[in-house]
Amino acid sequence: MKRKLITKKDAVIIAVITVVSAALLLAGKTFAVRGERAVISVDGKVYKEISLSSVSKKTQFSLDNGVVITAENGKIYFSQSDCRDKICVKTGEISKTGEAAVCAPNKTVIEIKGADRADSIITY
Amino acid sequence: MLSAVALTLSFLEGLIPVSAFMPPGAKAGFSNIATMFAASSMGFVPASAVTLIKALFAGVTRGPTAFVMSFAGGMLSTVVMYFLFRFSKNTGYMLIGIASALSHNFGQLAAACVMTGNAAALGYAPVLIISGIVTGAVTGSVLRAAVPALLKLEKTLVGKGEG
Repeated sequence: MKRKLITKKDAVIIAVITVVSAALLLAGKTFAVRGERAVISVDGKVYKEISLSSVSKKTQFSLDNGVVITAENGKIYFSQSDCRDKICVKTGEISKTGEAAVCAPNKTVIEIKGADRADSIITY
Repeated sequence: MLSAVALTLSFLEGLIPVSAFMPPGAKAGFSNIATMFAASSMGFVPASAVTLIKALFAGVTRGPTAFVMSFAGGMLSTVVMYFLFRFSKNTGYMLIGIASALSHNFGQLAAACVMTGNAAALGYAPVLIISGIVTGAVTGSVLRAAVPALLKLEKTLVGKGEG
């Protein structure tokens, strides 16, 4: 039997994957909360932690590996990188808990984390 | 021969201004059509060879990170598509295309996690899954349309002793 382009079973599988992943993506976007801290890691080690809420002015960090990271208005992003693909720069601003921007060539990662356990006070 | 096709496709793909409407890191993956053809009609070794040559090309043009990323994604994708072509007669081209696109993305993310020493790269997964479904469906469909022509071409070349 010749292989088909698509079978009924395939169509169902594709539809399910699409719906589930789209739902997860939307849910992730909808329920994401503004993060408190940005953690910059280089080569798996924490390089710097920035409290996003306390950054009032535009602040730039130049790393020695050719990456420039900018933080402003509770957001942070790769503003410059000497890598070829620039995926990190194209990722753009991140600000919500769980979001990340990665520059694989320079082994640099920015992650947004929730409030520090120490200073997170929940009031009911 | 096929590797040349893969490289040409991946070069042409670079010319398409996709960045405007594609998420960061996403690509159309046209060169996978060549890998898929190799996996479906020639076997695992030729398909892996295409993948390796593609990765070497990426390494030469875009640096060592690109080589690792391309090879990790490419090999995982090749294994997945080969097994589907070999052992699952009922799976259509479109689903195989999607499976190979998703495994390609996953392999690359895993490589990125290892290289950065950080699991954060997985944050790119949701958008890449969506784009993988779309591009995988396209590459699978194109392959289906191209298979008869490619088989004919292969026969001619092999017949002339140039294959």
